[in-house]
Parts: sequence; C-alpha cells; structure tokens
Amino acid sequence: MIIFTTLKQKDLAAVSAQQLFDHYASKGNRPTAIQRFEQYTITGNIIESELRHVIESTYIFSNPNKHHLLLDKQRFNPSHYYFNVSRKKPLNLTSKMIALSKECPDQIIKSVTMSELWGIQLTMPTETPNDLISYFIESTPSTIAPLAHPLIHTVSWVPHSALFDEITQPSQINHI
Amino acid sequence: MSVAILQFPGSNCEDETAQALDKLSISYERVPWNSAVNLDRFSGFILPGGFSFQDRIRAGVIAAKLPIIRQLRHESTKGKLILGICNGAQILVEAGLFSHHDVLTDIIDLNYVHETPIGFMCDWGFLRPFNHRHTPFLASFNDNTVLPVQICHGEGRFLHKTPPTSGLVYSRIDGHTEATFPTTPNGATNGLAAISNAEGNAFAIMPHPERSLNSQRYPHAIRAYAKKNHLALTDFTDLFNAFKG
Repeated sequence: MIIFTTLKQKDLAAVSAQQLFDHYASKGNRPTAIQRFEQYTITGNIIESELRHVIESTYIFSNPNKHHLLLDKQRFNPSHYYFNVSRKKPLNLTSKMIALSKECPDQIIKSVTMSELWGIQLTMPTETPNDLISYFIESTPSTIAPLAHPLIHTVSWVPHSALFDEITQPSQINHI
Repeated sequence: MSVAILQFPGSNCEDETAQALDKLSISYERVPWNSAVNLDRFSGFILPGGFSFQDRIRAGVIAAKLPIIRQLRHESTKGKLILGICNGAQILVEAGLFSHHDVLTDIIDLNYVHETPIGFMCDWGFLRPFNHRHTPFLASFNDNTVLPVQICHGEGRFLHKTPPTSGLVYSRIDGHTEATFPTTPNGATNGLAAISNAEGNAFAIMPHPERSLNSQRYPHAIRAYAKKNHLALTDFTDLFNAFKG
C-alpha cells in the first residue's frame, strides 16, 4: 500500500530548489512549480480499508494541522511530471511499523519505507522524462539539479496514472 | 594575500574558524556567499561548519550550486588550498571537488550504526592520517600521529566509488584504526573522517579541527588517559599552518 503526505505550508526544500532554478538556470530550464511529497510504502499481509482508517485517524503518518494526507490521485496535478527519489538502501521506518502494528494487531505489517516524490510543472514540456531527470533531478558537478545523488538514490519517472501502483515489477515503472 | 572564510546562510562555525586563524596569525577575510568579490585575490579558502540553507534537500547541496562555488572550483584548478570543515566539507563534496568526469562519486551521508540511522551526534574522537605526504594539510604530521577532535554532525558518513588518495581515518586513542562502531562513530566507509582530492589542494574534514587546537579543551578523561599511558596527542595547528605556505 502506498500513501503520500505533503506539507500544508510551503515546503522549504521545494522552495529552495525552485529558487535555484529561478536564479541560476537558463530560461528554458526553469520549472514553474516544484512540489515535494513524502511517499510511504507499507508491505505485509494487510487489509487496505482497515489500514486506511487507522492511517486517517492517527498521527502515525500525518498531523492534520500540518500535513495533507493523500490516499488517492485527486490532489495530484495530472499536468505535473512526477519523479520518485528513493534510497538504494531503503529507509526503513521501524517506529512507524511498530505503531501501525499496535493499532492493527490482526494484520501483519512487514515494513514501512519512505521515499520522496517530486512533482515538477513546466510551461512547454518538450523533453523526455530522461532529459528532465538530468536537468532537474540527478545532481552532477556541472548542473543545478539538486534532488537526487547518483551514489545513494534511484530515480524513477512515475506517470500520474501509476502514482499509487506498488513497484512490484521495477521494469514497469523504473524504465523511462 | 589572505585566506577567505566563505559564509553561507546557516554557517555557524565562522567565529571559531576565525579564532583558529587569529591564534596562528593567519590573515583572513570573511566573504558572504552573495558577495561580488573576486576570489582571485585570496590565497586560500575555508568553508566553515554549520547548516547552510538548513540542510534542505541534502546537507550542502544548495550552497554547492551557487555561483561563488563555481568561482571556487576555478580557483581550485590554480592549486590554491581549500579546506571544508563539517558543512563546508559537505558543500565541497556536493560541488564535485573530489569527483571526476562530471559524475558525483562521493557523498557525505546520514550517520548510520549497524544499518540504522542514528541522527545527530556530538562527541570526542581520534583521527590518524594516511598517505600524509600527498596533501599540504597533512604534510607536517606522520601516519602515526593521533589527533583528538570534536565530532559534531548528523550527516558525516563518507561514501565513495573510488577510495581517496589521502586523508584522515577514525582511530582509538592509542592509534589503532577500526572502521566499525564505536571507533568509527558514523558508519563511514573505511573509517574515513577526511579526504583530500587527487591534487591534494582541497581537503574535506567532517570533525572540527578548529575546535581542537588547544589541548586544554580536550575532555579531562582524554588528557588523564594520555598522561597515564604516556600517549602523545597532537593538535591541529599544522593543518591550519598549511595556509602559511
């Protein structure tokens, strides 16, 4: 099961990334908006409807004063390009797994991992997702792209239609 | 010519760095990140510790993309000495000063112990140089020197594709090196605490040598143990003296 959260206030990491492009990128390479989401992937033998209720009614993943909790595609702009930036060595959130297991004692929760999802809006997108990754996402010494480091991160383009799909077969989603 | 201390929004160790240079009578100037100053007029550069741009996205990555760092990279090609301490080290690594062929091959990542992120840590530890002749920053030490140092970071784990030519590794007080916890407190590959570039003129160190110049600042337990066991501990004076040429 995949869920997303995003801040209700401006996300300062996204603001800084936007400012970098606004100030230092050539005109054609400036996104009009950058959004950042936290993506949580929950694995195990789970009943999604029950888990969804627990996630919505507890503070395990989101504080309703601070975060939007996104359980469907409604809040995702279909005109944005979405890129998942995940650690090659997954970031396991053991405390969230334990908290979730306590709330749902009948379900077997194997792991909770976190990655980032970046949404990028462009005025005249003519590039392929691969080009966008090199312009905006994956860092090199000579480009401005700040969002992923090739040594520790894997970057995948995620089509809007596949935002909530589990990455069971990496070839479906990791290859652009 | 003087040394430039480059300050970024969120730098917080510039005063300690300046005090270290004052103590060693090395002239310096503080240069803000958005200054229009030409870096050509400085003989060397220090990027102090802190949390530039609040460590947003990754520690050091925003600062690494600024025009002043492009200038710094140009100055590096002239062989000028560049020292990055803590967040300054993260900025230099993110800027690619230790990488080759426009691909980032190094990173200073989150502290890990036994496969678990441990967050921010602050403690004293010990460092030992390796291949000290390769860089002016370590030239006055020898490979058996033991340097007590304050460690203070949340992202200090060196990861690399190609091992560095020279640098510093974590050790015990008796100089025995170990790449495992607790000697290496953050999971760094091969116990690395500092690396130099291939040319030897750029040096990135995660612990704080500017806080470890005065042996009176060492914790009492370290001083007492060294005295009792007749261990010679060296301070970081000679690392900063590299700027005197």
